[in-house]
Amino acid sequence: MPKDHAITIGKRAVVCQDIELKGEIQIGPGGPIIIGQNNIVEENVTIINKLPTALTIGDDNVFEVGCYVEGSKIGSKNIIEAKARILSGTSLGNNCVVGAVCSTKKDEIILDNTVIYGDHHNRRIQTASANQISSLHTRHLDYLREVLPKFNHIRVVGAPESQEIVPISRKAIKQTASH
Amino acid sequence: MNSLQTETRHIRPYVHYHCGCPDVNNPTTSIESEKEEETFNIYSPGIHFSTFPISKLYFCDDCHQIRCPRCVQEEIVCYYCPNCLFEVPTASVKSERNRCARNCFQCPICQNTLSVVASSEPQPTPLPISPTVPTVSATGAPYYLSCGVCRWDSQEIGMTFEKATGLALQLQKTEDERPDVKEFDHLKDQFEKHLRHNTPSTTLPSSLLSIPGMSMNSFSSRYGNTGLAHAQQKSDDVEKYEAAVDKVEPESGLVDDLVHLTDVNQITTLTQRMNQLSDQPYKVERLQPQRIHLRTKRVKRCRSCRHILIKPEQKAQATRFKIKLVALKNIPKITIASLPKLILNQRTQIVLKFSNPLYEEISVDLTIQEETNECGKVTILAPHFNITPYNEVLEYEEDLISSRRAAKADIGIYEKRGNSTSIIFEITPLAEVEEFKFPLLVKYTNKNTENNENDGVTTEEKSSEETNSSKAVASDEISADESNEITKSLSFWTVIGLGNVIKAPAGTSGTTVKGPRTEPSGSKGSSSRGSSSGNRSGTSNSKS
Repeated sequence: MPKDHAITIGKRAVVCQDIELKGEIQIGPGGPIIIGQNNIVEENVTIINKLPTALTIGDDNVFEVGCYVEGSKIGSKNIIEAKARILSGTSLGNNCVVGAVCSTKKDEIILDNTVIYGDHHNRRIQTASANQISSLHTRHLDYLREVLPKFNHIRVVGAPESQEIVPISRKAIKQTASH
Repeated sequence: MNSLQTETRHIRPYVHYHCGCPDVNNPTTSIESEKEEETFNIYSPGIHFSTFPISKLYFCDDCHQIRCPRCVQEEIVCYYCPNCLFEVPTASVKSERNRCARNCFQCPICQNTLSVVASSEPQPTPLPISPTVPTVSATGAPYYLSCGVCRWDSQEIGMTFEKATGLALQLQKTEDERPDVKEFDHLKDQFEKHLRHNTPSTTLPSSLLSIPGMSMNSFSSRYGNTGLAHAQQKSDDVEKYEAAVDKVEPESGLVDDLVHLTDVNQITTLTQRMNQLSDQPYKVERLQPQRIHLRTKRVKRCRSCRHILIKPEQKAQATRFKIKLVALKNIPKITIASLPKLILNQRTQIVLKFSNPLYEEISVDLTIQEETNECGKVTILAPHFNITPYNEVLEYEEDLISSRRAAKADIGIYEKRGNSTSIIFEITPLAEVEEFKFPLLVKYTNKNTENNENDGVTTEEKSSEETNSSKAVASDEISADESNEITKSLSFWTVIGLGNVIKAPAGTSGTTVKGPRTEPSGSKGSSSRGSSSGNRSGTSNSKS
């Protein structure tokens, strides 16, 4: 684990070995990239904030393998699928799904419950009830949290009761701007 | 994006094999096949229908001929669902309307496979720490279909299921209630009665009967009209049809909705409509999940000798083949090994690699129609060469073989290794064309000893000299030598496409000769790609 002074890793976070953290990063509250609770960040994910303002990421998001996030704000309970791209200035609502290899446009505001899918980056609003989505999403997160540690090197920091984790894997977070 | 893709596909290099399709073509022309071969025209519009990549071709052992998808006959072995891999018996394919009658549905929005999900309501206050216990919702049935790609689910259209299995059967009831389905069934009943009455007793090959919809009745009504049937039809006219349903009401207010349309996502796309052929709705809410289409496994036969070329395993799960006579395993495979950029008026050397899939040594003769065609000049430096047999063991010791072979390399032979020989061609493009292509007649001769299973590599090596001398055997002719050896030879045309020709960059003279094995001139001139199309049309005009 890097012991750089600028990096603060908050409580109840799990950060993988071999991670590459650049710049001033705070995992936990405060800072240019603020990641909320209960997020899952998989391998080769890039989260960049090039803006002077903070990039706030909400709770319960899943960033799947190799996705690229450069938004201005990410809500909660979103799924960013493998190799998806969120371009600069995009603000993502809640309960959104950005499908595999799909991307958003620049400086776009994506409403809640939007699904981007397919090779033409089609969009639709999911209509299932909020309860249903959240229960399905919670189960999905639980499953991932159970499975991911089996295939990644994870070192638990802090008290053992801190079960909600942010498993951040190799080269997960980069932060280029340091304003 | 789309136009870009087509462009790149246009100029991608390829090696295509020509199949004469002797059984499809007129038999009178096949007599003069010798003549036809000489005038093999790669610019004829039909060339795309008679040349194929080697992966699409078959090889008939008995005819000793290449067979293409046009000259094989297909018979259906089994029907199965690609999703659940259930084999559907031929008898019930028709009644199930060619679709999976079990649990497989495709998404009406994005056409991906749907999965069955148990609906669950979360606890009133979901705690993020503890996993929520799924509870069956009080309202509605507990199961629904859900798409993992676009997150559509069947609850949107109020479709839920009592059980997680046999979904199609559960849907069947509601489907049968629909007026259009009712009307269609009524029509079918009416005409089936009539057709059964009028059917003359013709016997059809069983292979045709296995095609759903191609029943005895429909076949005879379409093609097998005998005079007798006509007479009968006159005497027994179709009785007056009375509709079962008064009128299938159209979507109310559709025109208004279309006029006031503001968002593309409010109406269905063409793909979505075409997937629901029965009513083709414009409103997204009226889209229904469709059962997945069945697929077939097929036997392929040679048209002339009726021998089986391809025979898959009967079971849907098995991916093996009982019989698999593909061209890849029987005729020399030609691949473009090295292809530098073709520059106008510059001599360039390209390398074609010939691989021998057979367990016998073969000798290859290459001929080109004419040295200069409308694209430019082609010279083969080594028109005759041998290829050593294929040997599984030697595949692993490739380095050893190639070093031994390299010592006695001939002129024009780039490399010999394993079961392949690479040949140098000299290309001089004379016109700036979109696609430089030239025809190449490949003739190969191999020696089969009588007991060819026990044949070792060593005897083949020994007999290679004789093979060389007996090159002059006419194509498609089997002649016995004085020893127990049979020489087989086969000739076929190939079309070799080498991509586009670019103009020489300014400053370099047109007569520059590139030596062998120099670095590919990729960095030099990538400028004049756009102008090539105009130039090509000019040349074709002057030709005609």
